[in-house]
Amino acid sequence: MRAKIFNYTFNLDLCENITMIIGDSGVGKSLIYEYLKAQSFDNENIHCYNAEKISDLRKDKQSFIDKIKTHKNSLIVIDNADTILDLNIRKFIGFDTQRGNKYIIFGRNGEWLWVTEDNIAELVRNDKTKEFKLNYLFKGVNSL
Amino acid sequence: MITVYTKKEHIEKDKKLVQFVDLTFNKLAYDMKLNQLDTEYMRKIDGASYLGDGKMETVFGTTWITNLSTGCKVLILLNHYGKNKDYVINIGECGQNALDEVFKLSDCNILMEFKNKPMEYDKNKKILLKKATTNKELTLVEFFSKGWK
Repeated sequence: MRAKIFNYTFNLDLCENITMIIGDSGVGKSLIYEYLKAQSFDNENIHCYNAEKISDLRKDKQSFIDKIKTHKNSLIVIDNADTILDLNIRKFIGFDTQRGNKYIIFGRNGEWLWVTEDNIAELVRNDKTKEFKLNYLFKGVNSL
Repeated sequence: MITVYTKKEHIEKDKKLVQFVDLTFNKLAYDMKLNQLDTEYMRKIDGASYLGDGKMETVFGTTWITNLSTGCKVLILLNHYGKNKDYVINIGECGQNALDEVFKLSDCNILMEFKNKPMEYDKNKKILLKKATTNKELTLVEFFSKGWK
């Protein structure tokens, strides 16, 4: 997926079922989450969750894990992951290999998600070339 | 001294945990008076210039301070509420750059549920590690090695 986010370009190159996106505060992780959330408006195969969404689910007496279990062949995007993913959800996502889902997880804690260098990428922003890039750890961390 | 909790369950009942930093900050931001240190964090972490009246200039254009990064929101909340020992602030969403600033602070309560080491820190700086029944004073280098969990 190649995207234009304001005046920046972004190539969303997903390698594995789970892509964990790390990076410094302020680099633009939540901006990319908001972009994907906006795309989910008319795309029923994109589902986005962050702290605000979880708070809304709780008010509606809905369970996050039950909600996630309903998704198939979807792109599931999770922001604030280190705060909103509990152990049960982590285990579910970590073993969710038969339903055709792909996950983008903005966070740093890979516990129970079985993430390795193959699916952890650092988000880097270059203000000169106006570009966001994912640097996968297995390729070595390069600057743009 | 910075007091560190590594599990929510260890936080005393009379303390208030600020777990969802984004939501808490966004709720408070509309009536928050930002000071010089806040605007310094905005510049350092998000590269943003504060314009006043809740607005800021970023590389993406002019926007509201509710669009600051979560790491920057953590630092601003710590600046305003950190010295109030009734609050424990979740720093789990901080990137390395924000984490460096957190561990420069002198006095606050933080929740750090998984090991995320700052890039630069004063190795001899002491923190208080709070557990369910015990408190332990450790240097940061001890905390990030054998003292963790």
